Amino acid sequence: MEATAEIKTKARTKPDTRLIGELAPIVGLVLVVVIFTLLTKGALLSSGNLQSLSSQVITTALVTIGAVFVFGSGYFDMSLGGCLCFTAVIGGQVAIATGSLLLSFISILGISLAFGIAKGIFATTVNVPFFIFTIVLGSVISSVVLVMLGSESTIYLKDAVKEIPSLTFTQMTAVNVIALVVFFAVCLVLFNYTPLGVCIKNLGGSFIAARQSGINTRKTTIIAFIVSALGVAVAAFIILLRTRTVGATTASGVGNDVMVALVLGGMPLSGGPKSKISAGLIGAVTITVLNSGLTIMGLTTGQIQVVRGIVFIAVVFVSSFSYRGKLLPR
Amino acid sequence: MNKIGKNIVMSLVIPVVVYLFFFILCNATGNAGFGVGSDLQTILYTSVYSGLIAMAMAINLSSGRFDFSIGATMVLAIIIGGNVAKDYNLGAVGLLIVTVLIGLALGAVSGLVYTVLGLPPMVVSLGLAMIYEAIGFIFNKSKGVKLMGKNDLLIFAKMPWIVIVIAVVLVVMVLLWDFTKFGYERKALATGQKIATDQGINEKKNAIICYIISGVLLGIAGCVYISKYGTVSPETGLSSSSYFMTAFLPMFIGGAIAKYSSQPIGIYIGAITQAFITSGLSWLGFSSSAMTVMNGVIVMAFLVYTSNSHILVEQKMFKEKLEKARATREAKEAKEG
Amino acid sequence: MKKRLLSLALCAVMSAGLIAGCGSSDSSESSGTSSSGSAAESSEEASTDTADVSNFPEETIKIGVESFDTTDEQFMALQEYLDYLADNMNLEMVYSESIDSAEAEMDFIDSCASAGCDAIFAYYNVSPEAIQETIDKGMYYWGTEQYAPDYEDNEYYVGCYTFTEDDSEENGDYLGGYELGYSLGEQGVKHVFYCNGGASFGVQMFIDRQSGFEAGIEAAQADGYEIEYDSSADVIEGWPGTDDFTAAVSSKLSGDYDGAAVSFNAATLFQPINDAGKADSIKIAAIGGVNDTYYDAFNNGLVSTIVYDCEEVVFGNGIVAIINAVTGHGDVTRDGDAAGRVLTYRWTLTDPDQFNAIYDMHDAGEYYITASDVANLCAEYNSSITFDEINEYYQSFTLENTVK
Repeated sequence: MEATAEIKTKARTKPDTRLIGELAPIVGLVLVVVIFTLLTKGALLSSGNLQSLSSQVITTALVTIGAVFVFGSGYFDMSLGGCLCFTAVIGGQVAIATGSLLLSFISILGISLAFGIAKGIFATTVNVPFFIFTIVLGSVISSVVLVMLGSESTIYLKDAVKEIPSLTFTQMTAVNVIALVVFFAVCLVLFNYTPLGVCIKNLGGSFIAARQSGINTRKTTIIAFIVSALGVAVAAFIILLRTRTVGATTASGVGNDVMVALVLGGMPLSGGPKSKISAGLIGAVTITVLNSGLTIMGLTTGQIQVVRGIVFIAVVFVSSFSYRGKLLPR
Repeated sequence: MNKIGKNIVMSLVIPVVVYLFFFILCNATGNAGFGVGSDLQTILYTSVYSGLIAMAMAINLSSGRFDFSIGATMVLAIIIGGNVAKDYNLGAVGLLIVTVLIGLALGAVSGLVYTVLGLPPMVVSLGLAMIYEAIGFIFNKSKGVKLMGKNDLLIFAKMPWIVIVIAVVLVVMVLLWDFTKFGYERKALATGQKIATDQGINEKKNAIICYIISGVLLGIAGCVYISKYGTVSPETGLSSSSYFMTAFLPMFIGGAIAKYSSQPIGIYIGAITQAFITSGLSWLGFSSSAMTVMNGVIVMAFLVYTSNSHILVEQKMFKEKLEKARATREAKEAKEG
Repeated sequence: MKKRLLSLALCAVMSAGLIAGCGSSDSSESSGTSSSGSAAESSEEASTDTADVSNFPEETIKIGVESFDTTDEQFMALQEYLDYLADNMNLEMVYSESIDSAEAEMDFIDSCASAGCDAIFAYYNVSPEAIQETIDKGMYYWGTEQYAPDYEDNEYYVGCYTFTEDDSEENGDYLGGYELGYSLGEQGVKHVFYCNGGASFGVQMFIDRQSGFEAGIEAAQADGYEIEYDSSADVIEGWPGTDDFTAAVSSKLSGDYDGAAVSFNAATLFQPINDAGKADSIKIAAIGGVNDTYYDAFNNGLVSTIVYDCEEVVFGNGIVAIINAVTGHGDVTRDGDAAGRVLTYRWTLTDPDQFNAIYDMHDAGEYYITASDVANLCAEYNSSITFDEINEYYQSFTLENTVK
């Protein structure tokens, strides 16, 4: 006789912390915007400030969105600030030598892509801890810029052989918005809807598994660096347009800002399948709104530093729920 | 005995070669001041300072944890320690003890935040760097710490104290690294995280102790720094990240020659080498940016070498095996033929 | 469940942190109750030092202050004076973080515009575009004289801090460096080395100071002083804290130098010089301030010269110009059609008694130009004031006249 027993099992449900983790960056952004709008009595979202925010966010956003490709492949690239500075300076020198913005843009694109391809080839050929290598590379590039500039410490576009027209505030805003939307759209499609994105996420997840699956790791890595270089190129050109002044101090804070933005956007820094292209945009906007809001509120430098640190750790903690493991992360 | 001799020679060959190279070059170009007299004192100071920072970074880096907050920890420890020592007339030993204790506390906080929150160490250290910088800025109303002229406090950059400091630190670090349970567990965790934790090693405790030791070393480094300069200004905007640039070359040279002695000793020898290079280049009259470029190129070259040196060893082994196989086959053919 | 609570707690902590941060900023806002007609028109004597002007101007004027390094001694002294004015008048200051690049500067100006600032006080300036941006946003600009010739005809450009009567290559930083060089020559220094700070990193302020220093040395040599300086061998580049700075300092100290000129905070040289046993044989000249850092060193002779820009004299006239412009009396800031240049003198301190007198005064929270003195220079408060009178007033503050 068959003995049947009814086994009742209580539905084993765990609170879905992963969902909290994935939503944390967006929630963080919304919270920051709401809190600062209240604290600045609406000044944050005034039409003038929104236009200014587009100028403030563009550099970090472009570089960060491009960086998602590189970080997603599992390579830490800390030399983005140095590369941006170098590219902008070369662009500036070409601009004042020829008076043509088009030539300047072409040279910026060329130099940036050259850097990207070189880094990509190096990353796939030579076995080094890439992270430390790029930190040192970043500082070497910045010093090379200084040596290159020599005694002429800053390049002003007004010294160009032919006058280069400057853009009005509205024109600049339009340029910013168009550049950001187009670049983000392209990257979104590439990352989420093409095989390239899948390859990158696989590569970041496990190099060996990706290679064994037949992914051409070298090609994928180089393309990732090329996309990042594109972001850097557009950012350098926009800096040139907006400030018309480049020198050795250009983009000095970008390297750190990119890391902070990626983290605030919820991107796992070691890359892999959980990388999100939205992290670039959300993180850049969050850090920009945070900085802008803190300045508008008129806080002292010390208070700004403290608040920034606390907000950073809070957002990062909550967003880490989406990728926690049992072991301590490395 | 032969092996010990070989170890000593291999450990010292790099700094000796670098010293001779710059000595000859400087004297040839008319800069006789390199490497003699007061320059040696400066080299000693620079080597101790960067050696301490490099050791602090290496503890965590060898376990895959990059600590962004090294500069901020050191600056905060010495700002608080220095002001407390000044206000309460604590004397030099008091300065050292207070600064080291604060470094220890900051390291403990870093370790705890890392283990409790479970975030990637890069991210944690970034956030903590921001907060430590902020506290250092607000403390003493952004004036930092000023101990100029208080010669009774500022002894750690001078003989004989600086030698005592580095000797004690090296002895303790070598013991911790190679002769304690902590050291063995650290090595196990560094090379095989999952296996080590499955075997029962308490990873969190080990990580916290690593951060604490790093904090202590940074406190000592802060005392050495302020003994040289008398004043420390607070940093803002993550600019404290410039402090760890001096740690890379010692760490990698240390990694290359660690097998001949012990990692802390290797790191210190690397720091001495870096001090020779910096002093030599400075005497030769290079500009600051040119020196950064050269230093960076040397670091990158070393990085490539240390990461790929095993390939050379493998090739050598392969060749030896091939020779041996060939010899065996020939002997066999000779026997049969 | 626990993690949910923890995440909620963290959000609360985050919000609390933000509110705590903003809560303590209320103390920096001055009392902004605009009372009508309280201290508006007044024909009082310009010399009433302690009149209460906390309700002047009627509507709070918000000023954005831009700086290169928020821990710099001179900037911190300026910040104390500006805070004093903000406490005693109806002003509010918004300070920037350390700004070094052109984009950071533009971001700050945009944020100030959104915060409702009426003017920008540019203690430091990177690019001319920033001035244009300020003007485009409808804010008044007072700052460095670097780009004055390009903008001085614009009504929104209300002046600059200057030590020369007309625009010339020799701006304030240049002249400061000049004083360093000449003064050391005058004091009989034979061989000097120069710490050039950010000049090798492309920071214009330090590049100007270095060229001024070299000109000062040449002038001293032309006047017969035997001072030697080689512009390649006798320079220490960069900032303290790096290994190469340490190496460079020690190699210089082992040489035969008896003078050191520093274009930034010289405190980092005190200890190395002490340790090298050269405290009696080296004279330091620095661009700095009258504060704790230099108190002991100046009094015991280690520092022999301080090129000091007295914050209430050199920079304070900017507040006057801004208040005048914002309250609709822009004409008082003009000299003809161009923005007026209020000529001020920097004080080259070589006498410890003078140093101590200034130090004691500032330490007690008092200033040579008080809040009500500033108010008396504003047309809204004192309707008879003219630009020439403002100019003469500030010119009268030479070292000999002011510090008895």
